[in-house]
Amino acid sequence: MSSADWEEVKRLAADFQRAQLTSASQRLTERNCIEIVNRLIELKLLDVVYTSDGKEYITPQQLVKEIQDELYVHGGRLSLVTLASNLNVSLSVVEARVADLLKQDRRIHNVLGQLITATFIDTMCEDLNEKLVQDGMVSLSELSKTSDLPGEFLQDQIEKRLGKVIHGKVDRDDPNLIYTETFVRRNTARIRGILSAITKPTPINQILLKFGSNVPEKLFFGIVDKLITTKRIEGIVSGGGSSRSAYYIPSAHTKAQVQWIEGFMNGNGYVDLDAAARLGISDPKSFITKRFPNQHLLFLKTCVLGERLFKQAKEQVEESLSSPGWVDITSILPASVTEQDLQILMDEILAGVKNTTVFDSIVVNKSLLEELKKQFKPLMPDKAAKDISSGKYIQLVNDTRAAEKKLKLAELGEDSTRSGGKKDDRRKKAASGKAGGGTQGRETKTKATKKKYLAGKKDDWSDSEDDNPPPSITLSNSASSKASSRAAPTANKNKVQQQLEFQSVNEVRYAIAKNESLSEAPLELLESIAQIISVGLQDEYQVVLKEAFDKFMSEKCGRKSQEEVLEKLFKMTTMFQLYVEGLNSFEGDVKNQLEKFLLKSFGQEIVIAATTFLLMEAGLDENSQVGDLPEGKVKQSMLALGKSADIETFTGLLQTVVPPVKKSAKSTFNPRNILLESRDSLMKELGVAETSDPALFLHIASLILFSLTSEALLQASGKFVPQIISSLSGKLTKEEHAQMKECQEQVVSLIKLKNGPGAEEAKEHLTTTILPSIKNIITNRTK
Amino acid sequence: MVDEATRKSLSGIPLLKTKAGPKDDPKLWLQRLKEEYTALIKYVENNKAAGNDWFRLESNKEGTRWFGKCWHVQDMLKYEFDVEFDIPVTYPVTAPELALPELDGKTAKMYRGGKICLTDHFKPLWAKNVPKFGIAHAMALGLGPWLAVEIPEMIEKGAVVYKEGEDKK
Repeated sequence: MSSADWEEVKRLAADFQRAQLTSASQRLTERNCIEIVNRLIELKLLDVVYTSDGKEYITPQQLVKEIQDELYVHGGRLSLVTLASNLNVSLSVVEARVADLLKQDRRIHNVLGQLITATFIDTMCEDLNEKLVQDGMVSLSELSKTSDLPGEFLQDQIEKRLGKVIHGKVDRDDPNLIYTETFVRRNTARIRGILSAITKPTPINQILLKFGSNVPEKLFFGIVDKLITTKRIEGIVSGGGSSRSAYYIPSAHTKAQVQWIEGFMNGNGYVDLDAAARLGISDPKSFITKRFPNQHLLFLKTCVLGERLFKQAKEQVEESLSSPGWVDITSILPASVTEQDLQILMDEILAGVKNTTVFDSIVVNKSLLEELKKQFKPLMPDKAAKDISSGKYIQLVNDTRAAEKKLKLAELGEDSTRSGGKKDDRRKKAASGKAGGGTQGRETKTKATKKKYLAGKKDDWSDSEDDNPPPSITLSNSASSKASSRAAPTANKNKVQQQLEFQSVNEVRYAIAKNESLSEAPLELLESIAQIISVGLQDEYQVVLKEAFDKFMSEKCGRKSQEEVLEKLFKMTTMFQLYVEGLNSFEGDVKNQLEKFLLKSFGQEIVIAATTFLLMEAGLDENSQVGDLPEGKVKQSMLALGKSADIETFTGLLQTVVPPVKKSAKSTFNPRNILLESRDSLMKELGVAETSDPALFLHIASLILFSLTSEALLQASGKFVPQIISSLSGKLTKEEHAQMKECQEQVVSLIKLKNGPGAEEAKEHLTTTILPSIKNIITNRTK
Repeated sequence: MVDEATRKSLSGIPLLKTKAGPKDDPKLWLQRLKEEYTALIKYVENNKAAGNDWFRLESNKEGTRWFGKCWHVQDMLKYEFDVEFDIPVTYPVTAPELALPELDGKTAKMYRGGKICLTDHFKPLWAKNVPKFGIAHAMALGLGPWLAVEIPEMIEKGAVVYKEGEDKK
């Protein structure tokens, strides 16, 4: 057993005693401590704060120090919440302390509940600078996103450090962008290159795409503006400041456009708007107007005509209108001018030119048309005469009448179910007939038939086309039909042809084609002219036809025009005077009897003729009577005329009724001529009666002999024959008178036989022997 | 069952390694004794550090007999008692029998001669922990809990009366 061990035990025992004897630290219980501290705080002797678990107290100074330490440990950025939990104190305490701290230390910032030291920002800015150097551009908004700091604060802080830590500059327009000079210069160079290379308008969008998202729009526009203002590149940016709609238009392009427009205008005298649009001119009209401010330009739909070409065209048109009488405008104009434009252009050109008719693109002088029409006029009467004599016209008139009657009947019998349109049509027709027709129904008919004629003509046209289609006509069908439709807007094919055609359109066309001035005209023009002319010709022809027909009818049916009636009246009055003279050869009872017979027979004829004349003159129709005449002397005389008992009153009244004969016409109504005329007619009758009726022959022969001997006329019936023959006794030779006497006896005996036995022989004897002898007397006398 | 405070104080006491009693090889006993002291010193230090100092102990030269004082504070009054015990021959297999001679006969939880009745748990626990437990453990597991339970009861019964001036000792 070593003493050392015991020594050690002793020492341990001593240690133990010592350990037991050292006074125990007079510890207070937690409860006590808390009470004491509370008391102290109450007494304001101690300024401490609790930790959040309540187990510790901490002095504000310590807290501030700890905050600073924490901040440092966390690299200069620490949120208050983290700080509070790290320091084990409540957030409000920390906030209060931080507020103090911020007052003391300006290098610390409280941003959105985070403490940030200047060191932290410095570090961040250094990073930023590195990035800037690398990328050339930094967006603060991006930075704000990654660093989770508000943009304004960042901006503020970074601005302070610009030029010191960060070597770049802030974009003027967008303070969120920071970029370096190098970056700007590099991009300026690239943009300059691109824009210089562009030769046609290019959307900015596309250019920006080339840069990807590296160059912000604003910077791009800024650079472009600068380049343009410094004239480094030539062009303009149009279409607003946004990249969506903006275009860069290089001036090279504009120059090219201008050159082209000017070149084309100078070379050709016009500019095609389509072509201009193809060059990229969005509003060619205003563009061209600006380019040629001094010229009077004519804007059409598809092109713009220069002054020179317009004038040239106008001159040419005027010239052509005077010399060949027609011109095709298309031949003067550029090929690209459309039909619509032609219309506009022609309106413009023809503004000062009169007397023209326009067919599509061809202008024809009206005088030429007239001239062509004239060509046909001489042909009309012949054709009319032919048509009438062949009975076609009468047939047509009758047909028309029948058709109209039918139509009227149909109209009357029609109920209201008929479609309104047709009715309207008919009403219009009726109305127009009334309006233009005047007193006579015929006018109405011709009016109505005019349309029908056109319809028929059209049918004809197509027919002839079917029968014998000339190739060129088929080609130009549209043109010709256009012309015809212009002339006749409505064409009713169902109507019966109610007008006689003068010449078919084809015929007219061939006829006019022979005209010198139209020798070079295209077929279409000929057709169009033919269409137009033939309508006029047809109308004219109808007039001619009607005149001819009227004349024909008056000749045939005694229908008389007023003048004819008057003429006849004059003739009759003259004859009447001759008759009156003839009466003077008789005396006494015979004279009276003859007078009465004259008044009854020829006198009544004159009365009728005079009445007709007066009615015509008064404008009344055939069916009206003398009573319808306007009141006055004439009417009274007329009424008295019919009742007059003796020759004197009759002639007296007749003078008031019949107007005096015009001097120029007097020779026509010379009594001598009338005498010869009426004798001739008697002679003709004599020839007829010679073989058939011996009594009539004797009657006429006596009348002729009377007129031959007394130079007057006699109106007498058969019963006066013996008296006449006896009165002739003094004037004829004895032989002649005896022959007449014998003839008279023979005739009387013949009449007495009354077709009994021997009558035939007696008649045979009379006609073969006696009558020729009397005829001889007359012929001798006539010579 | 050992309460929370006891367990805590127990855990602060270093465990012993040498299994030797006073009758064994003196070298080994010496070794054991050193360990006992170290454990005690640590325990006392712990107690003092926790403001929980509750006994004074010293031994004879051989370390076979121990004596000293222990106390209990209640209502700001300190009740102090003598404590003594011998190291049994079979130590450390047998736990030492702690005795408070002046309380002999004052409570039922005591054997003749003032030896305290330890809880049922103490002995198995001790047996399980041979040779790791030593005097310090016996104090912490045995006497400490006993005092905490029995003294307030005895004070209530009036068996123990506060003696004036004991504080000054």
